[in-house]
Amino acid sequence: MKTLKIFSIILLVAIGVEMSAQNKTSIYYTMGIPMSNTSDYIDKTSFRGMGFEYQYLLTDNFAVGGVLQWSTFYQDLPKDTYPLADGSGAITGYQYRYINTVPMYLTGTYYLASDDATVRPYLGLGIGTYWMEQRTDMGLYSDINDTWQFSLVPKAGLLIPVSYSTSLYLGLDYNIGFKNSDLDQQSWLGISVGFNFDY
Amino acid sequence: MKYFNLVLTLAIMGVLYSCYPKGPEYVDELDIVISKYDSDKFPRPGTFAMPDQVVYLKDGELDEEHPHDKDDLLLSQIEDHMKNNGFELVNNLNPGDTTFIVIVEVLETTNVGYIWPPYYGPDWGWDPWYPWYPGGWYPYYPWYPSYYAFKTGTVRIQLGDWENRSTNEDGDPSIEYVYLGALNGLLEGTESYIDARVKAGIDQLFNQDPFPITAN
Repeated sequence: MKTLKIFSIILLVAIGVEMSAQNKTSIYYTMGIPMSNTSDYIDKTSFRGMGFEYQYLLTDNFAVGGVLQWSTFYQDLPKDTYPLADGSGAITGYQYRYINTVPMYLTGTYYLASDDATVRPYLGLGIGTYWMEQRTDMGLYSDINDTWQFSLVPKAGLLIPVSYSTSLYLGLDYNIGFKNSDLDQQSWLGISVGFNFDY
Repeated sequence: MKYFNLVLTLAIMGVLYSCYPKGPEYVDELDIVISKYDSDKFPRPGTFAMPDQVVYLKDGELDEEHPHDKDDLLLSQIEDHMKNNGFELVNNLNPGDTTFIVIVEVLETTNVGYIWPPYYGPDWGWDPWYPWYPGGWYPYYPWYPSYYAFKTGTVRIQLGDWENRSTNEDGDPSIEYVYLGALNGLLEGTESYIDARVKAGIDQLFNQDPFPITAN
């Protein structure tokens, strides 16, 4: 919770910086393709996600900002028998697995072309935290594991201007939530489509 | 344009929320079968004694009024499975004759509560039947309070280690449970539907760890 407060303050300060034509806001729909440990738990692609990004341009090509996102991974497994964790028995039933994640991170983004280019590719890096909830439902019972993970997010994408201040936003990001005492490292490839607004 | 982002964000949230995965759709998808045992003490070869009645508990209290019309069905199925796993039925509790005693209980629990679930309605939108929300502040709209009440049933099968029973401070026999098998699910549907689920659950119980026991 403390992490959330600190992040919120930083984000608000960033947004509060002089509002000129140096601001960019993106809202987008995002899909997630699970990788590594995440894929071991849920291997189905998530089609449920959305995100919001604010950026402040420090120079013509470099911006700092913040991202708030939400994604849900889900997979139901057929009726099966699983050993108990201590090896002293078993449980049989249908299993419903969920990962709810709320990535919150600060970004640095470098635009490889000027703002009057037809296509404006960018590279970026995000550092922050992910709230992760891994939940397994069996019968009327849930095994819930929720935690905050430190995160690193390499990003790349394109802005394709469609009007003076609006661009189509296409993004790829590799989300890494680092292992902590509650949860193994989680990672997924995010594919995002949305709009970017300059103001 | 000033409010475009907000409106678009709320619209996307609404669409995504209505698509939130819902989990199980049918009652029997919530049935589970759990087994737990002390591997130092079970399984081991031996004999067993069966009770002639099932114990019924309702919301934690002994339910002596519960009809016993299903007892034979339950007990005979368990007896058959025990025999098929190499245990010999004995009809006494004499010292030296009986290794395990079987205890069968059926628990009925009524669950009531109050939750704030997400709204899973088919058409997320400005629903006119929900007219009393404060005007203009829609984001909380999909959340509404709801009471719930449902009944769950559990069949619990326990094996007590009669052979190694001890005596407690009051001089009464003290028996350690070396195996617990339980079926749990919603008590919904017709009687025959519930009976079929219970039968399938008991069959499953004797088909998962530590059963089947082949070298007894």
